[in-house]
Amino acid sequence: MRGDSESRSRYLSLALLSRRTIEGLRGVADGVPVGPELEESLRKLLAGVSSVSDAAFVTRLEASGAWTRFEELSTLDEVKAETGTDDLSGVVSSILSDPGERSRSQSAKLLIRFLTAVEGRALQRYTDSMEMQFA
Amino acid sequence: MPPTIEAVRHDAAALHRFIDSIASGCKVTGGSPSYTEPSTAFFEYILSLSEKTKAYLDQFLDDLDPQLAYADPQDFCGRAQIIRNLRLNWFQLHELIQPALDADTLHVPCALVNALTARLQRVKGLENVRFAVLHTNQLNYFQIGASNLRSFAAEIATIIPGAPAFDKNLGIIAHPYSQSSSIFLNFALAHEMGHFAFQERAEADRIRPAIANALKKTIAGMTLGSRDPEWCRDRVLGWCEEIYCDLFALWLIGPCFSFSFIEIFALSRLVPSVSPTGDHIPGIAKAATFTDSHPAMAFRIREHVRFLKMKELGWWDEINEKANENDRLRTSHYLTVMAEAEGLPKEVFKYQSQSKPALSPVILETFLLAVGEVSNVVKEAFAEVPSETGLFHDQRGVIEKYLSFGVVPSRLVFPNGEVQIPATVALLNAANLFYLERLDLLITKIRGGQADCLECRALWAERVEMWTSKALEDVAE
Repeated sequence: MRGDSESRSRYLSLALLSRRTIEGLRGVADGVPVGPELEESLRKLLAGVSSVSDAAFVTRLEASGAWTRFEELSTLDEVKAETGTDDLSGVVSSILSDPGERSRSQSAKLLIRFLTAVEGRALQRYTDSMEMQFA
Repeated sequence: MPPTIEAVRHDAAALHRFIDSIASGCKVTGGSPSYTEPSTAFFEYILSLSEKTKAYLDQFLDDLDPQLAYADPQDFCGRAQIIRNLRLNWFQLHELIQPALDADTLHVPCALVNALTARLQRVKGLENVRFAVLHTNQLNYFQIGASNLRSFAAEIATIIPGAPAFDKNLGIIAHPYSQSSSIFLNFALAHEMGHFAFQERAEADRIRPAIANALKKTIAGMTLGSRDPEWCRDRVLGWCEEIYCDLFALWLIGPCFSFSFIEIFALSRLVPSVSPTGDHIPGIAKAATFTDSHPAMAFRIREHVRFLKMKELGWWDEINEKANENDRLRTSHYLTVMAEAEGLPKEVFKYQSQSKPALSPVILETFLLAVGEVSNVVKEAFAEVPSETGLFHDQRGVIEKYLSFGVVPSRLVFPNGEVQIPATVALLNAANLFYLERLDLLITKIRGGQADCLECRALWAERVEMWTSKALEDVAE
């Protein structure tokens, strides 16, 4: 399942990754502390959407796991641009840095909306490529 | 029109039915058709995942506040998007379940799969691996990628509370439905097993640093789009994975993997040409173009030969020993193709990306800089697993002699009276080389056999495969 079909399955993986993160964030929005698994995912998300210095270039490309693949990061960029989410890094940082329960809860709700859009975009990419396959 | 809970219930019920229809086929019981234990384990996993997914849907509907549809329609719709997510994921699973059901024990090359699995279990970290086998209508083994199904099924489970984790020792491989009785073409299954090892041993983590460092050099001074580095890295990593799987297969079963590769793609029949300066250009140079998903076939064979020549393997000298013995004067034309591929300069290899043409030369150059690391990673994987080249050297002659008399080479009696059980790798390679180089020795012993008769050659080639398969079964007992 290489090539186009592999890229297609990566969009499904992205949809699952988004949903998994959303489910974790629902608890945070209700005041539950950020668990270790969600924290790791959010840190990778933060690293993926942050600009990097030349020195960090190699480190960034060596990274593996969630929010490191091209399909994941380019979809984040697309949704950011379309929804006008200018400060995604700030939103994720505020969840991780624990500035206060209320602020964190609001940031979690914002991120849930954003990732719901990412999930939807990833699913659409999957079906678009299926249509191309059947055309 | 505002969203309603009733509409969501309808969609959830439709998904419930859809999952039921897929999972019902997985209720296999004893009797006919029968399946191997790994295939049965795969079906049980799908059944369990289906039950948990349906339970999750029930719970989701219980938890979904109908008033949210009016209070915050956006949030309501966002929550209900899970139904589309799950439906498309089950859609993807559906594509691969029927091929697994088609592959019952009568239609799977069980002896070969078991022999390869036994050898694979000697690799550190893969001691308990086993494989479910799928059927496919694609003849190109190298495009199937059944290993992705595995990671995919495992990922679905991560969003379903209480869903079973996918057994990390259960691999999935696929082979063309028409080739269940073949041995020699199915050597390509070793490449599929390489994908499993690549995932399970997290080999990408070992290769990524080499790619990142190479990429830093090749894009120095260029102006790139924000995600171009990741795009380049993922493409190069994909090519490296393919090379990894090829080299993995070569260590696992020896050069017979290359022979199957050449036969599947008829690479021995590429027409040579002459350069404008009058130089001979071998036919294999025509297979020098990389695709988005795979390195060029000529490049892959070039890497095969380089790997087979390594002192840790020592295969190349073994299969090219034609001049050393009086009774071994011929060399397969497949070996000629391999030698010609090895001689190709790197300048002949080409890649043209349709989506990012400007990055094409960068990707190719990055790959050529990084690919050397792949053989190191494969060597590390097989650090505790001998190549068995020495056993091939010792046993080849006797195995060939047995086959030339139509005898199953399960128990080898040497001229000095010594008795040996053939090693898997020795058996597979000796039989494959016999098929390639010495089939006429067998045919001419058969009354009425004609070496120039296509039907005869096909018939006796099939017999050689049957005897090899039988020997594999005997050796395993």
